[in-house]
Amino acid sequence: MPNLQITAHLSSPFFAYDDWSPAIDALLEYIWLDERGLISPNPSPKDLIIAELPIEKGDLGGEWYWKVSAPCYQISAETQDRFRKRWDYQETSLNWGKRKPKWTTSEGAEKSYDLPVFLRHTERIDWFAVGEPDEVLSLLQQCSGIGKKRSYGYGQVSRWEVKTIAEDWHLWREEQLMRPIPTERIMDAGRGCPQGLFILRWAWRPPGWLHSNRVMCFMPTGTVIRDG
Amino acid sequence: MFSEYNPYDRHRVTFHCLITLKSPLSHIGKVSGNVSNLKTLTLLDIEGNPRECLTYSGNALRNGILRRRGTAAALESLGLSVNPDVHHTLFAGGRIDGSTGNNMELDKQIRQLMPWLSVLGTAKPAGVFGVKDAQMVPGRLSVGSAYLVCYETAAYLWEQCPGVLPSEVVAPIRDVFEAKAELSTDIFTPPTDEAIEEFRIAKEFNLPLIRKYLKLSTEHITLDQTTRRDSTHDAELTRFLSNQALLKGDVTGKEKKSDQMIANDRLIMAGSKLYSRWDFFGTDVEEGFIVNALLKFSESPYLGGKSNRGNGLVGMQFWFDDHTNRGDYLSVSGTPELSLRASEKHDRWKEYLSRYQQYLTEAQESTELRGLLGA
Repeated sequence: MPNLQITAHLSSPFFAYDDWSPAIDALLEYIWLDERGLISPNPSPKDLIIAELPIEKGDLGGEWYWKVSAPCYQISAETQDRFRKRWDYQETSLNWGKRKPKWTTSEGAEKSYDLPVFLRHTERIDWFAVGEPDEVLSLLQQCSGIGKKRSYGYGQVSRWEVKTIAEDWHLWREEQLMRPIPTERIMDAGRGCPQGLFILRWAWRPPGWLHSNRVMCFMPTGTVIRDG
Repeated sequence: MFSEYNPYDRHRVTFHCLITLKSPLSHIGKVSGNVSNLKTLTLLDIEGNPRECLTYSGNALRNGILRRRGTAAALESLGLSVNPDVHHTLFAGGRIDGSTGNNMELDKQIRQLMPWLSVLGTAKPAGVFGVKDAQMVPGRLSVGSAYLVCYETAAYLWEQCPGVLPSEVVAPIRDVFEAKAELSTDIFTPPTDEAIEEFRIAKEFNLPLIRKYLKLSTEHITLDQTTRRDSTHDAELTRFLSNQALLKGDVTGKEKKSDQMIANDRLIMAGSKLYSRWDFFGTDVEEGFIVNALLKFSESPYLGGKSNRGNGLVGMQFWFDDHTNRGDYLSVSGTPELSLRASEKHDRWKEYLSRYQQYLTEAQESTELRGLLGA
């Protein structure tokens, strides 16, 4: 399969808590499962379905993974917005029944909220991968937004671009680690044991909720660049 | 009847919404003393710099128009009233208050019986809809914030819907974009000197022209100062006071505090335009629900706060793009105008409601529906 550069051109800021999200393999798996009506809201290990993605599978010491890099982007600004919720009790369709027509907005089941959204501003996010460009693009074109709180318009994607490139940068780009690798598998990644890398318990292949996917990983630290 | 309706037979469509303000709009972000500031969001401008611009949040559009008015209209049509837990789930988005379940049959049932909830999503609390576990029901519509059509948002608007921009600026913005795209292929590759120079020339030549036709965000702000007299100072009204002696001070001899008030509100001026992108992935019936909610909104088309002073009167125009066809969709300005597509989807919604009403009549004691709604 050819080497790919996958680009999301963003038109609004996106909401992510860390530098390694959104993961393109997780996004592709979600779209693949959603196309087939296989998405479940709270899956358990017995519900696990491995998607058949147009991405090449790699092997590190007998463990498979999708050949994709972490997201690479330059943050132009980091800002904070807020989203709010309050219950409008004035609708005529409310029937209090035996309950006393009373509630508090500061606590309890009907509490209102005013919560922060941490936004990252960038014009594009790139991922490097090995896969079939047309099929990858066809899947991604079904995705109109990335990150959290897409329903409020954060992370809008104006267009996806997938192009073939000469080099395979999904794992390393020169001396730069490009994706999380389990610490136990680092010797299989072909560059010896790197020094000074950040280590975190991380799901190095999707789905992130599956406990067995979460292992101690060397994390890439140079794939997100902050202005200034 | 509901077994014939497949809630997973979905299609994708993007709606482009242009809001025209017929009176000033209030949408408060931060309040400082007695001054209400407008809500802003930071966007990257045409040069790639972060700039604050005035917005009306997607959350407010989504929940104000669709969730409140759309869901209320559906329940009214069906003559349903619900208990407070279900009401909170329908109108406020619910809550996760216990262990979460993974009941796909429930997901399907909710989407079949409550398309309004399928479109907007909810966090179904434990015990609601007759099911013990809490469960997320993901929505099918993303409503973007409405950005003011102005200089700061020119790049965003050009990428989303160039038609909302003055025609004179479309080509200049494209030239700047094309020069900017040549700067870098990814974050690890520095731009060449030639690309930097071309971008500089493109900006120097085109930005003054763009600036000429698009006002800055701040040029769209108007200030409204309101006062409230202390009614006890009004000679005409003091006759209604039961104890006029209190006006001169209480028993401690202190003077009564005045209830007069002065407040300053910043508003987006009438005539301004805002643009919002809506991405939908759902069924024909659900799209019909959106049309119906917008038609209900057109009966009293006010957005934002302080509508008691006439603020927030708007007209809304929608275009659709389903990636095969695109065109006019719906206009909410005075008498609503529906395109053929919007009419067809609305008819699907009305058919669905009509069958629903028939079903309710025939199955007054339907345990399935009554159990779900707690009605």
